[in-house]
Amino acid sequence: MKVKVSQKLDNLQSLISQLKETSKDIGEIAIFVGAVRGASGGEKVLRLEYDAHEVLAPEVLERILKDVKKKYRIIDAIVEHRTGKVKVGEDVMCVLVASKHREEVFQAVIELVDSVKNETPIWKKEITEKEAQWVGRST
Amino acid sequence: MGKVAEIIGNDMSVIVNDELELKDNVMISVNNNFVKHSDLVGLKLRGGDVVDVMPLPSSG
Repeated sequence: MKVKVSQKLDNLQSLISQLKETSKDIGEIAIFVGAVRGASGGEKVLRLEYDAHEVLAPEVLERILKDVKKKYRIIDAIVEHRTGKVKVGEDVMCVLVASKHREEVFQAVIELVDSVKNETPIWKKEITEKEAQWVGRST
Repeated sequence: MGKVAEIIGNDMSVIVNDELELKDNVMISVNNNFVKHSDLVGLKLRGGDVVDVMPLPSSG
């Protein structure tokens, strides 16, 4: 199990290799990669800027991973999320789930991504051609 | 709450509703430990405690 919140994501192929090394029982690895869209609400996006709680963000990610691992009985998983400035087209986060069978990996990926987005103290500011605003702050 | 409003000004609406009640989705931590909203009443702070008031996450 590995979580990382930093300015750079690790190489995807090396993460896959890390997962495979954890168990010979792994038969499936599902991967989710989130990237920055070039438009939002009809406006051209220039970049996103991410801020995270340095202590609590990794702690929350670890708790989410443990919960999902227990619930779906997956073998292992990795979640990484970037901070700082991220340009359009660049990767923001990645979630990798390894298990024996495909059914549980897909379910686990969906739940992991949703939980990361809804529960982890990480915030994004959207910089468009017209304005800069924190996303979701008025909700 | 008045002191918090002085510090963050217009962004106060991020953490409280129109009745100046803390929004349900706001996260609070003291010294890097999450505090449930239900535990806030009666919570005693000491000098040097670090309180984080965090709005709805928007990661990904």
